[in-house]
Amino acid sequence: MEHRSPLASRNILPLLASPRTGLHSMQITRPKSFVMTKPDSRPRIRRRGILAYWHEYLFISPFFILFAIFFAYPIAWSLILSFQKWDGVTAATWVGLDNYRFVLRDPITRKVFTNTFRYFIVLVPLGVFLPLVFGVLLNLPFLRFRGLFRTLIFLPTVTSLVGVGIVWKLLFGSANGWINGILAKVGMGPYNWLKDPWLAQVPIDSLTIWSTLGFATLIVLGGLQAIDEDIYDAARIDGASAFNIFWKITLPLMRPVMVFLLITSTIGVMTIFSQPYVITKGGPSNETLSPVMHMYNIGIGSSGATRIGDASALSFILSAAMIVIVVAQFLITRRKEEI
Amino acid sequence: MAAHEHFSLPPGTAAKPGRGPRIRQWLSQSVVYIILVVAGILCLAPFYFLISGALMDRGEMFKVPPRLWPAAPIWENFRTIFTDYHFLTYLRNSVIISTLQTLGVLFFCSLAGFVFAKRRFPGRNVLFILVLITSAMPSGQTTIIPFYLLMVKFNWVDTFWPLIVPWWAPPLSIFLMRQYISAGIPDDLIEASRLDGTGLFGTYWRVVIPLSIPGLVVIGVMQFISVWNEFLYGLLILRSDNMRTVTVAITELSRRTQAATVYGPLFAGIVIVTIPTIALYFIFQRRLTSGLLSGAVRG
Repeated sequence: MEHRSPLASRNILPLLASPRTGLHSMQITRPKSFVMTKPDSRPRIRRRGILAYWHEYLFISPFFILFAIFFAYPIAWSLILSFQKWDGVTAATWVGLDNYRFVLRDPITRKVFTNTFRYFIVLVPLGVFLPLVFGVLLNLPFLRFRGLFRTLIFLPTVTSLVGVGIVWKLLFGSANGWINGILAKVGMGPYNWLKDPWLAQVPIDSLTIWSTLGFATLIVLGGLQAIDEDIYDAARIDGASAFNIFWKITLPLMRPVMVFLLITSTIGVMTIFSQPYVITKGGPSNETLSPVMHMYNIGIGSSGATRIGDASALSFILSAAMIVIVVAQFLITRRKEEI
Repeated sequence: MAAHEHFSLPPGTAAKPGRGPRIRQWLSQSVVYIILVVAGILCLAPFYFLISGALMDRGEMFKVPPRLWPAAPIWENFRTIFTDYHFLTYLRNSVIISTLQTLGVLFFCSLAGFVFAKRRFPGRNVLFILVLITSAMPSGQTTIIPFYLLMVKFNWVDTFWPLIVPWWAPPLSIFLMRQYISAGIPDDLIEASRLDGTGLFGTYWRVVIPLSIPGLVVIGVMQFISVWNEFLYGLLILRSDNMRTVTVAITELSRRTQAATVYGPLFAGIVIVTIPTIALYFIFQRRLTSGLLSGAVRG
C-alpha cells in the first residue's frame, strides 16, 4: 500500500521465519548455527578474543549505525518531543501528557481512526481473500497462458502508485470522469465519487487493491508451489474430494502465508498515505484523511501552524495501535496446538 | 513449468477421467478463464487510460461524455512536458537517487549477508536476530516527523542524501542476501580463498560477489523499482522545484490550482515515469518471478 509499492515497505517477512509463527516451509539455512549456544561451548572464539573479529563487526556495522542514527534516534527523540510543545522555531516547553490528551480528544484524530477502520474492513479481508483466489487460479494444472496472466496481475506492482493515482483521480472525476462515462452507457450515475463522503472510499480502495494484488498473489503462488505433491497424491488415493483436499490440506498449509498477508495489509492500511494524498487530498471534509496524512499536515505545518508535539504524540498512538492489532492478529491466528 | 506445479484446487472432474460430465469440466474451466481475463483487463485498463490521456489535449480530456481515445493523438504532449515543465531535471534527480541508493544497498547488504552467512564470531546470532526484529518494527511512515527534524539538524533538507544514505542497509535485503550466500556459495570456496591468504574483504570482492550476481540482480532490481516509485520521503525532504524526483514532481503538477491545463503533458510525464520500472520488470521477469516465488516465501 504505502509499500508503495509493497516492495518498498519495510517488510515483516523475516518474522515468519520464527518457528513460533509456524511457517515450516521457510527455513533459516544452517539452523545449527542459529541455535544460541552458551559461550562455553565455543572455546575457539573465546581464546581468540573479540578484537580478532573486527573485520566481521566492521562489515555488519553499516546496518547498526544507519539504524541507530536514522531510525532509533528519531524515534527516541520524538518520544521526548511528544511531551513538549514546539513549533520547530521558538523554544520548546514541557507539557507532560497534554499532547496525548489533546490528540486523543481531537475530533480529527477520531475521524482519521474511523477512516482507517473503514479502509480496514474493506481492504484487509480483500487483501487476504483476493490473492488467495488468484494464487489458486493461477496454479490450476490445466491453465494455459499462465505466464501471461501472472504478468498482467503483477504489472501494477511495479508501477508508480502516485502516477496511477493521478489517473485514478481523473477516472473517478465528476461528470467528465471516465468511470461515469462508462456507467452512463449502461444507464447509471453519474456519481460524485470524489465529493461524497462514502463514495470517496471507492477510488482509494480500488487503487490500493489494484496496486497490491500482484505482489500478494505471487506470495500465495510461492506458498502453493512449496506444498509437497505427495500429500495431494496420498489424499487422492484415499478418495478425498477436490473440495476436501482444498479445505483440509491446502488451506491449513497456507495458514502462515495468509497470516503474512493479513499483517502486511493491516500495516499497509494503517500507514496509508499516497492514495488519499493524490486522489482526494483527504477530502471531502476529512472523510478520507489518513493518520499519516494528518501527521504530515500538522507536523510539517502544511495546514496552519506546525505542531510537532501533537504529530509526535499521534505517531506514538498510531504505532501503539498498530502493535496491539498486529500482536492480536498473531495470537488469534496462532495454531491451537501452540497455545 | 506446468510439470512441477501442483494441484491446489483440482477441478472436480480432472481427477477422475472418463466420468461422463465433460461439459461440467469445460464449464468450470471457462469460468476460470473468464475470471482471469476480466482481472487481466482490469489490471491493464488504467494503462490504457493513461496512454489515451497522454495523447489528448485539454478540451478533449474534459469532454462530457468523456472520450475513450483521442480523435487525433497529440504527440506534442511528450515534448511539452520536457520543454515547459523541466521534466528532464526530475528524471535526472530520480536516476541519481535510485542508482546511488541501489548501489549502496547491494554493497552493504551483500557484505553483511556474507558475514552473517559464512563467518563465525561472538554475538553473531544475537546481532542477526536484532536485524530481523528491526525489520518487523512498524517504523517507516510513522517516523516522518522526527526524521524530518533530524534532517533539518544535519542541514540535509532539500538534498538527495536523506533519500539515499539512511536506506542503504534494509534488514530484509540483508536477510535475503544471507540466505542466498549461505545456500549458493560452498564453504570450501571461502575457506580456500582464506587459506590463500586473501583478506576478508578480498574474499568478499573476488569470491562472494561474482558468485552472488543472480541474487544481487533480484535485490537490485526490486530496490531500484521501489526507490524510483518512492513518494512520501521525497515529498517530505525535497522542497525546491529543481530537486524534486519524478513522483513528487508529477504529484505537485497534478495539485496545482490550474492543474486541468497541464493534464495532457502531465499524463505524458506519467507514461515516461512508468516506462523504466516496467522495462526493468520485463527484462528481468524470469529471474524476479522465480526469485520472489522461491526466495520470498521460503526465505
